[in-house]
Parts: sequence; C-alpha cells; structure tokens
Amino acid sequence: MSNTANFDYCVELSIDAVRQIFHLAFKNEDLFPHTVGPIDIDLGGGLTGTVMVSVLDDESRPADLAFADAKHIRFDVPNDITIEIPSAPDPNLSRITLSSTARFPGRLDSWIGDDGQPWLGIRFDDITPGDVDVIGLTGVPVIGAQQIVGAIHSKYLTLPHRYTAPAPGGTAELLVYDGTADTTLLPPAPGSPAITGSLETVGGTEYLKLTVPIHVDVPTGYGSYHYLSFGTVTCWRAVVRTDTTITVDAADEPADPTVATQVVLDNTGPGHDQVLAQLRPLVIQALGGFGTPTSAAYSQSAATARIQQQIADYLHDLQFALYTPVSHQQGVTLSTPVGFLLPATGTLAVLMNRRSGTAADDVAPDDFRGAADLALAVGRDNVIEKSTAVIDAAFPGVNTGSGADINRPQGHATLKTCHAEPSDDGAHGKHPGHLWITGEAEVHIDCWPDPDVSFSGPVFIDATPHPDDPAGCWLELKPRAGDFDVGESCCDVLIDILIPIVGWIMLAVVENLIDKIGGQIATETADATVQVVSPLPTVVIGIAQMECCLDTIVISQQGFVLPGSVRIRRDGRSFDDLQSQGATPRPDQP
Amino acid sequence: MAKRSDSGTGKSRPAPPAAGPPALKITTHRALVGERTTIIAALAADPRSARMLAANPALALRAVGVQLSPAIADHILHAVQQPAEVRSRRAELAAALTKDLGVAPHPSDPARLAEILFGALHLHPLATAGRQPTYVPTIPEASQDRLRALLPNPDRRLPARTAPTAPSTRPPPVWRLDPGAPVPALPRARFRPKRVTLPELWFYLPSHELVRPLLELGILEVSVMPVLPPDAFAKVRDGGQTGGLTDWIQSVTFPRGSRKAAPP
Repeated sequence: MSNTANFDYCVELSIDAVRQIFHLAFKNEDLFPHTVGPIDIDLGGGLTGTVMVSVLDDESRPADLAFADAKHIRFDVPNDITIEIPSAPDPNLSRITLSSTARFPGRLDSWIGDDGQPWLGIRFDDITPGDVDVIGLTGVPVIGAQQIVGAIHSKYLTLPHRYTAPAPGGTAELLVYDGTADTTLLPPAPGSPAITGSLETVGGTEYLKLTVPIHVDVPTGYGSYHYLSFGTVTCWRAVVRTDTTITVDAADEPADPTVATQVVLDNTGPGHDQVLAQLRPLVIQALGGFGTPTSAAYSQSAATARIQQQIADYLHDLQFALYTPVSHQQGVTLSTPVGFLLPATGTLAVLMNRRSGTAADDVAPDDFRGAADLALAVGRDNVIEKSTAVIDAAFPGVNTGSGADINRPQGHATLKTCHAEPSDDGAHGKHPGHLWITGEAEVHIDCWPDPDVSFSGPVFIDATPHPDDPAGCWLELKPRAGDFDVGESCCDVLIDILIPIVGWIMLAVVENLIDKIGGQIATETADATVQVVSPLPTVVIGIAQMECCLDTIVISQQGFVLPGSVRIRRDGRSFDDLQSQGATPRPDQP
Repeated sequence: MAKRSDSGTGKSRPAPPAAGPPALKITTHRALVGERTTIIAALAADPRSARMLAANPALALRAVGVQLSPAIADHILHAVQQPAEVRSRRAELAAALTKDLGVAPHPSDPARLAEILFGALHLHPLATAGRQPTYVPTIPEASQDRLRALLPNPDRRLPARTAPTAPSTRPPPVWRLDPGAPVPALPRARFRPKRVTLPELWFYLPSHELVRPLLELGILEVSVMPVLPPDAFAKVRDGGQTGGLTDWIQSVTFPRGSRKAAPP
C-alpha cells in the first residue's frame, strides 16, 4: 500500500467535493435528463401503458451518493414514475404516479472517449435488477372492490341497458340501472341506485359480489296485464389475481350454488314466481356483457421488482464521464485515469500514469487526503526519478563515473555522485519531512592530495500561499537547506548550488504532476521558487468551475503530498446563481 | 607509523585525537608535504575529522595532534579557502588598485568603498535603494537548457504575473554579480552614503574605469570558504550539531597515493 500504489500520481477528492460535482452535474439536463420517457410497457393481462420518469434533486427530495466499495458509487435518486394506462378498466387507474428513491450502484471505470482523451467515469453495464433498491415506494394502487366496481361502472356505459325477450302476448323487458348513468331509462329507478360491489371469500374463493338494480316489464298473457317490478340482481364472480393483475370474468357463473346469481323482485304479486324463473338466464346473459375487466394490480413487491427491472434496463447502456486530465498539447494522449473509492474515509482516488504492472495489478492507494478536500500525491519512485534526471542535467557527468566539475572562486571540486530522495518527518533526526541529499565530491586542494568528501543532509521545502494572491490559491514552494547558523556562511557555495537544484527538482516533479492531471502552473526558477496554480482542470466536463487551491506540501518516504481545498460552482451563471447572489435582473438594472 | 621529517617537525607520532598536547609540529611547507602520510593517518584515525575539516582545517589538524605554526596554519587556511589562481588574481588586482588609488582598496569593506568612490574617485552618489543588480545564474545556461527539456509542457504555464514577486528572503550571493550585464542609468542620490556594498557598487560600473576592478576584487575578497572560529569549532569537535551544512559532511577520505604531484 502506498499513496500512489503502482502509479506515479494520485488525486484524492473528498466525498463532499464529489457530491458537489454530482449535484451540479445533475442539474445539467444534457448530461442527466430529468425526464425519461415515454417508454411503452406491457403491464400484463393485455394492458399496455406508457411510462414517464422524472428524476429529482431538490431540497425536499435531494439526490445523494455514497461510496459503496472500492469500485462502486451508490446513488440515491428520487423519482416519480407516471404510468398512463389508456385502457385501464377503472378510469381512476388510467394514470398512476409512483414515487420512490432508487438506490443503485455505478461502477467507477475508465475508457478512451470519442475525443481520444482518457476518461474516468461511471458505467452501469454490470448492473442487475437485484442491485437496485427501490426505497419508500408509494402510489402503488391497491386494487379492491372499489376499483373493480369502478371498472364495472365504466363498462356499463358501453353496454345496452335494456334487454328484451319474447314473452306471451308481447316482449319482456329488463332494464339495468347504474345510478344516473342512463337517465333515458323508463321508469327511472327510485333513488337512482347504483351498481354496488364488495369482495367476499366463500369456500376459499375470492368473489366480487355485485348488486345490480333492475326493472322488469313482462307481459303475462292475461289480457293486458304486465308484471312490473323493480328489483336487484346479486351475483358472485370469482376474482383471479396474479402478482400484477386482477381479473373478474363477469360471464362466469359459479358452479357453487351458494354463490349462484340471485334475482330479487320487489313486486310479489301475481306473476312473480313465473317471471323470476324466466328472468334468471336473461340476467346472467346480461351480466356477461360486462366481459372480463382486468386491472393492472401490482403488489408492492411486484411493483418494486418491475421498477428494479426497468431501472436496470435503462441504466445498462449508460455511462457518464466525470473527469479527464486535459492535455493542452496536440497529439499528446494522457494516461487513462484509474479510479478507486475509499469508502471508510469517503475518498475518491484517481490514479494516473501506471508505473508498473497491468490493470490486473492495480490496487487502491492509501488515503493521504486527511481532512483536506483535495490532495495530490507524487510517488516516491517518480520523485527519485525526476530528481536524478535534474541532477544529471545540471551536472553532466555526475553519477556516471567521470563526475562533473564545479568551479567557483572559493574552490574547485568534481561532483562524482549526487542523489535526492524523499524522507519522513523524523528520519535522519530531521523535522519535518525533507529531501535527503547525498553525494560525493573530490575536492581539489592546492599542494595536497584531493580528498573525497561524502556529504548528506536535508533540504526542506517551505510552502506558503503567495502574498499577492487574494484568493490564496497560488502556492509557492521554496527550498531551504537546513536551519543555518548565521555565521556559517562557509556553506553558501553548497547552498547556492543545491537550492536551485532542489528548486528544479520540485519544478520537474510538480510540473510533470500538473501535466498529467491537468491544471496550470506558473514557474519561477530564478530564486528556485515553484509556484503552483490551479492543480486540476478548472472546468469539469462543462458542468462546473472547480477552483483548487493547494495549501502546503508534505514530504515523506512515500513521496510528496500536496493537500488543498476545492471550490466548485456551476459553469456559467444560471438564474439560480443570480438569485442566490441577490442579483436577478431588475427593471432599472436589466 | 609516522615518520619524522628532516626539518620543520616536532615529535614523531601524532597524539591520539583530541587528547593531550599536539605531538607533531609542522612549521614549514616542506614538512607539511613531507608528513602528509602521517597527517592523513591521524585524520583517518579520528572519526570526527571529516566534520572538523569542514569546520576549520587548521584547528582540525590541531585536534588530531598536528600543531601548526601560525604561518603554516595561515597557508593551509588560504589554500582551502581559495585556489591559488584566485589568490594570485586578488593580489594582482589589489596591487594595481593600490597603485591607482594610492591606498589599499579593500572594496569588501563598505565604508572603505564609500570613501574610495566619493573621495578618491569623486563620483556622484547614485540612488541605488531598492534596486537589484543583475546576477549570473548559479546554474549555467547550458545546464538550464537541459533542465528545461525535462519540463513537460510549457504551454501549461500561466503568462507572466502582474502581481509583484515577493522579495526573496535570501539575496543571491555577491560572487554571482554579473559585471558583464547592462547597468541601468540611475539618478543621483541627494546624499552621499557612508557605506557602499558590492551589489551597490555594481551600479557604478559605467561611472569610472576603476569600478570594474574594484568590483572584481571585492567579489574575490568575499568569495572565500570561511572557517568556523575556535568556539564554534569546539562545538563541532565535541560532536555538536551546527544545524548547518557542516553537519552534512559524512566523511573526508584522502587517497592512499597522491593523485597529483606534490608541489616543488
């Protein structure tokens, strides 16, 4: 384990910073459409519908994310799912709105984008319905007698309400009422009774019990005497439920005599029994006209499963790019960033420049961010590599056997070897962490054998915000060799050589870091000071302006760590931005 | 074993490090060269010698049992502090300037330098306050070109800042003053200063032909490898840390055979 694992560089962001970027990204309709659909769906039982999904991220129902494991971010996305079912038997069920929060994982992955740049982002190609949690689902309609009777009311309007049959001396007539749904029926039913229903379980079978108001007008064959009567039909129809539908076959007269259709006629006068006997088949036939009303009747678990499936299907092919190190050099393709999540500390780690191994060898780095929003790390091997390159360039011949001649008025020497390596706070008895410089030189002395002098010592890096930058975002890195006694000016020559070299080492390390992760740097080498500005690209995929400030540098055996802070705001000035600033346009100040 | 030289030496065997009086006396250059094997052995026998040599070679030799006459001690210190050709150039410049000015110049002395400029040379004082002379970079341009090649992406750098750079806490050393750089014309100062430093002298380069040799001599005067005084040396000898680069010296190893011929 190390700060940079098997990579050269690592950027770590706090989950708070990632959340800010996420919320800003979420407000971008181009990236995250807030409305998905319409999507045609089969609801089962011959019903079809169209679905519109609205995703939300507001104060009352905020979206959120959490780091689930090393490779997955867990998103919480509140949503409203509106299902339009034009053929719903019950008009009240033709538009259903389900509300819930979908919790699903997105996999941190990297790829080469269409722009040729390496991207780090979120993919969902491994998501399964079982990975999706539907939290707090509300709005799933409970289909009961009321809804089925509603379907009966609706169907009533499409059926004939007057049924006739030949009878002795004329035509028998059956009127079926449903409240005031048909005011043309004569005679009108007193009190305009409606069809009513309830669910009953008889003999282990669930039935819809319907009570239907009727009127009969039957010629009796005795002169002009007609048997006239209001009455009711009571029937039981078996209810067939699946996990997603409820169906009642109105034509299916039960075989069980206890739930046989019953007709009650109010007029018990002459003809009652005869009419009743003849009427029952006619009534059963009329009831069959109500057909087989089927409603989508999702149970809570079925609705949840269906939403899980829909979300998984929708997300499967999506990917959202989050970060790319921006190369400003044409033709330069940067190393693909590799992301790891450190859930224990809420840290997103972005590794860049694989130094050894393959993707199979990639491991999560340590959390070096601490309490900072942001921290950059350069690995030890990279620091040493850059240090060696700087020393070799500054002193051609050093570390090769021949040595590099150094001539000053104070004397002449041949620098044979020189190395720098990052060291921990407390190593070599020195505080804080430092670059430990070692070397050997042959010192040329008149009239005396030239001694080989080996030396080693610390060079510290003082990091301070630039005093002229009001935002405090320019970090100056200034090398300092030890804590000198003022009187020890004997060492000025070595200081004068070493400090600029360390300045160049810092420059090479930091500028290569910036080059690989994006951002900008301002450099000054005249006094061996390195200025770091905007260590990350200022714009995150067109959604946010991210201003990063580095606060200091921490040197350890593992390399360099530069902690800092992040300020993120939406790219551009939206109405929300202006409103939050109290700067919305006014008539006098458009 | 130490070998007694034929002249200029005292006792034949160096004393144990920092214990007892010096056992080997060196009073002549010939003895110094002749006894170098003995001296080197004495230094090698004392683990403190590396840092002591870096702090003060003359006192280091004394600490390992080699007593030097004042003249030899002075010779050693001069040899360590500046190469022979630099010392020669210093002497040459000092002699020429003394002849021209009528006095020994010592331009590294600011008061003396003010007297020379405004007294002997009758120059007008210049308003040098707050001005920075030009220095030669510590890393040669050729090396800087190689170093720049290590930087990946110059396009990534910001344009030059408009904000002023914070003053460096440590000005460049005097020996890097660049006498060949163009000197800006400065207005006259209202008052004649009593002291003129070498960086201030740089601005007088166009004012008189003797300023250039004065500046060169002044630079050479301060371009010495100073040594620690006895009290500070004692701290190093006793294993104390100076907190400075003397602490950096880990070892000083003299070759068994001379890598260069002994001087005549």
